[in-house]
Amino acid sequence: MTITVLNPGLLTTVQDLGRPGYQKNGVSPSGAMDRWALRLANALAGNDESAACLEITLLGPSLFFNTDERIAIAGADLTPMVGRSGIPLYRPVWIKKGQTLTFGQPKQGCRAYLAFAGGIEAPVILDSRSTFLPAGFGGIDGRRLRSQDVLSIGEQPDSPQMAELFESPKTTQRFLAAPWAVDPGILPYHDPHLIHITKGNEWDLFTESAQEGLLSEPFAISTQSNRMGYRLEGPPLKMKKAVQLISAPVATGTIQVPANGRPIILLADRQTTGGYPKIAHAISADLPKLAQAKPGDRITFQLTTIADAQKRLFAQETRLDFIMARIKEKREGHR
Amino acid sequence: MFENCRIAPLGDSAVTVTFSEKIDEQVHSRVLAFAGMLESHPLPGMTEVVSGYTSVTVFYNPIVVWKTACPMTGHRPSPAPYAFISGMLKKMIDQPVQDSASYSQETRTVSIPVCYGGAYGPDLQAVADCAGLSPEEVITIHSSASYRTFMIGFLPGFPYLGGLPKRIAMPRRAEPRLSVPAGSVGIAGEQTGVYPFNSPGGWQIIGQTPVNLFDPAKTPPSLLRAGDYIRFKAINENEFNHWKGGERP
Repeated sequence: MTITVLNPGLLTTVQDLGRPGYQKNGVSPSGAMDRWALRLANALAGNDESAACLEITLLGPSLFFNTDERIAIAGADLTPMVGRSGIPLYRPVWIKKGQTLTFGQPKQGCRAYLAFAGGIEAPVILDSRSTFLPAGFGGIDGRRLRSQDVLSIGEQPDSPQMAELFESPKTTQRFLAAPWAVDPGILPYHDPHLIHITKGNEWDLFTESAQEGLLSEPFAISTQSNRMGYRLEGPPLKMKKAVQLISAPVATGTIQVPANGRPIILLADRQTTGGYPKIAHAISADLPKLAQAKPGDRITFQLTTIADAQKRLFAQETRLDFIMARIKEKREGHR
Repeated sequence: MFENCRIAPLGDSAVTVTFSEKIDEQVHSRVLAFAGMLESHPLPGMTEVVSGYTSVTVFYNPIVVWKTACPMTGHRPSPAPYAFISGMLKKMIDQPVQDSASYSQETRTVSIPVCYGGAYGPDLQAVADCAGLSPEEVITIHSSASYRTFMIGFLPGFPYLGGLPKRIAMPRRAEPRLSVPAGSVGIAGEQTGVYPFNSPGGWQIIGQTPVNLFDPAKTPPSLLRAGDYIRFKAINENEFNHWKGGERP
């Protein structure tokens, strides 16, 4: 089962849940920027949560379906279409052989996750199919998708009722969407530009006005932003006095501040160590919001505690567990 | 000796144990032993351990910690995952140092062949001028030292090396090069290291090694690990090409 890439879009890469365990070798866990959306797309497509998907950034690709495929799209609304018809998000969609999936104007968010039933087949490198762009390995030859790439999709038998529905002569459409979808109220993007943070180790080395500035002023995501991290524009954050720190491990979400006072949020493809002062860390529960923010968007920060950060993560995970269970019921044909 | 040990969160999914504010080999040995102990006896929910110059960082999944180690009282896990993990780390730190020493891995000495100077080391003359030495003397000094690998990080396979003789220390280039070839051996301030990939770089490049520092197809993928001692061995251009040639399938 294959998909031919007619047009790769702005930045489309194969990603899964990444490769934890290799930071001691200098490789960040990387994987999907919005792990929540990837896991949900996989569940909707009937995959294990760790199957490889396409991470699509802003301007999406043009994909030709050489075979019938079941897909699901979660995360940003980048106006997916077959012909002139919009493809709905957050539900399984069956697309017939010979059709082309395209994307129009980005409507909301930045990164969409396109899961194919059976998962994208790519070599497993360091326990993952994710593309690690900084070192050029993983996914499709360690790079973004290009025209004429052919994606190989794993086999995945459909449930008998859905297969029958799709083949029915009544189905003259080029695609078929499930009549149900995930309730948008459950998505983790409520207040999409408010990012909760916890204090970093060097928080106290910053001036009071820097600390206040971080918490009261909006910061714009600059165009110097990518999967390695977002460079922010806003009031420069000054330290009480200059420090030289020993380089040490950093985390996804770490907000470091170089000498110029402009903070950088480290993200999926980040370097594994850093020597800049760490003023704060974005909480894990808000990483999906960051993944959906794009250059030009303005974010504001709100301080919280580790305990609260972890509580928010549990709440998010509990909601996802609930949705996964309901999806499973639907797929198995129960009411 | 390590009473000043500090445990602090690194965001909501990692904890850093800092043994000292000063870099030295004894502290680093303690760091490696502690990391080794955690690798042998992983904490519930732990996803990986990364050692630094003076610290060990434990990455964990709070959801897994919550589900496996913290009993729920009402709707709150008790204790919270961070408190649970940091509590366990404190107990481990309080263990006698001798016990943890048994987790130290065997020290390896790795010889890295380097073709110094010429096209392979365009900044060798600049380093020599800065030190008031001849290029040959710089090579001799650089290749007679033994360098401790304190940490692998920044780029895949990149070793942070300590022990550069101060005589040949030189500040970074004022303007970084747009592209430094993979295998380039450089000096920046009192640090020396090797670029595992082609990348932009501001280090003073004195030579190049034909050895591959990072191969994602291998387990482990990086040639070096924290705790290794590195010696640089001067080779000539013929030997360099021969070595590189051998790498081709």
